[in-house]
Amino acid sequence: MASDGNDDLGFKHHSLMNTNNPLCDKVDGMALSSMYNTKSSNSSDPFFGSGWDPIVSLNQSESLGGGSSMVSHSGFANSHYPLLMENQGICGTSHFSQYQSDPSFVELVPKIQGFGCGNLSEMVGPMSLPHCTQGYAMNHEGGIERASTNSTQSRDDRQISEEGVVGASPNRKCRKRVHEANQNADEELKKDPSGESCDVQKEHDSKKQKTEQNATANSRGKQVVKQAKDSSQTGEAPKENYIHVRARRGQATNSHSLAERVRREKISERMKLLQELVPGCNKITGKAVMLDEIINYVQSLQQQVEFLSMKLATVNPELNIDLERILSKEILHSRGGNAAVVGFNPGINLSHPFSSGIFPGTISGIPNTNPQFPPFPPQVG
Amino acid sequence: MLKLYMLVFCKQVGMESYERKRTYPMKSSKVIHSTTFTTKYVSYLVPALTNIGSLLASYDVDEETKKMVRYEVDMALALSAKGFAWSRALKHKLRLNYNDDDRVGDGHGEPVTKKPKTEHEEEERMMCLRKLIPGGKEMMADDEMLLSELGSYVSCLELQVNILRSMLQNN
Repeated sequence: MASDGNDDLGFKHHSLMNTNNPLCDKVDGMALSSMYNTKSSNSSDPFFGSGWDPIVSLNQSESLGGGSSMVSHSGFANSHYPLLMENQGICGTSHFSQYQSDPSFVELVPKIQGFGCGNLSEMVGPMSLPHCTQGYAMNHEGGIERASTNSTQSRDDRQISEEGVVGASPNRKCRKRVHEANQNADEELKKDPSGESCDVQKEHDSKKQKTEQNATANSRGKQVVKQAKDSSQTGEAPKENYIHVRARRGQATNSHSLAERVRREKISERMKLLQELVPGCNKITGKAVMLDEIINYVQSLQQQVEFLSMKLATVNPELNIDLERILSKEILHSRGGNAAVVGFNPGINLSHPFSSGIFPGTISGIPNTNPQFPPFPPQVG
Repeated sequence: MLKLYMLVFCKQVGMESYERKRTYPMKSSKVIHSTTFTTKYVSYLVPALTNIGSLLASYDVDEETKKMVRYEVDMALALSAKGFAWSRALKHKLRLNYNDDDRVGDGHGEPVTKKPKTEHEEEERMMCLRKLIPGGKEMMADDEMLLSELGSYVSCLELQVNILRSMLQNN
């Protein structure tokens, strides 16, 4: 029965993934795993499945290579489903092999929890909370105290604020302890105490190795996510319209540094989008060089406009403009298959060197010839 | 039904997180369609150029003509990409220049000469970018706004170049 449910679940996920394929690739593998994790055996699947959609569809830019990991996740979900509920901190493919091979799920649970990624689980927290509570309850009963602060140790700024989870959680007796732990951690906004508490629990469970990994994950998580390629290490929540910031372990937690971090994250996101816009900048890492490239590109574009307008002036009287022809030319030559970012797509390729870049926040409206992904829903925020 | 849940999800997440001020929503950006831009641009520019052509009694292309053409080119850009800070600034600048002196010049009022690159300071580069983009100087405080404006500006510039080039090719 459980296995049946698992199979159904896995199958559902497969079909779900397939339908959202172009977007799926951009969903972080971690997100998928978390999705599996928090899914409960209650018939909330359609609910949850839909909950997954916005995560996918709100994803911006990052092609986080969720494709391959999706398959592994589904297999993973199938075999470990009953216990996945309890693991909101699963992230990173490195642990999957462990799960699949280890028959003793219960022991694995605390390990997984410690892993700092519970991004997606937090993300869908408000929705899937009733199920999470069951997971919590199970954990609690099992004598494994699972502070949700584990998830706060996760690396990244793209988590949903845990307060969302806390706020939406129904009052359940079993979860009170965890709930309070959540609140305490949240209010303090401190990583160290929570980390310590987690560590203590870990020691109690004698899963020390995980704490070490935790710490390293945290320290790694601290690094700038500019290229967002840490997904292999710590997993990464799919990007949303929000940049969620949590104080990570060992970081200052006053509002200034948090805001600063948010600002930096936003800037790096924009830089990434610009990187896709400017041709030949894919390999450039580093803000300064990137800015240089952008400056050069803008200058060259402006020079071209200058030159062309001069030419236009000389040619002016004989102008024979055909609007439809220009438009059709552009559409025919427009480049398909743009980058993953939702954005502004010039889509023109009149045998010129410019690449069709995409600017965030806009939807390409070119019909027909452009095999682009469907427009994103209006962004929340 | 899925959509309903999705909306609820978004709302709930958004509201809750935002209330607690732990999340910082990204600014929602404008939607630009390249076809829309192209249509607007061409439909503005072509009549304007025709006007210029008809205004000139003799077809001697002098500085004045070039400036007028340049003005129209810039104005077409500003009008075709509404809703951005740089387009507003560009429009403003164009109108100012046109009214004040007879020189229309480029609405950008810059180009070409900026070569910063004394490396190490990213600030310098940001300053450069600010000078490049119309209205950039008004974005002194806001780096991220600058970068997003830059994105749309670059896209529109590309479109503009393509359009101009195709217009010239047609002849």
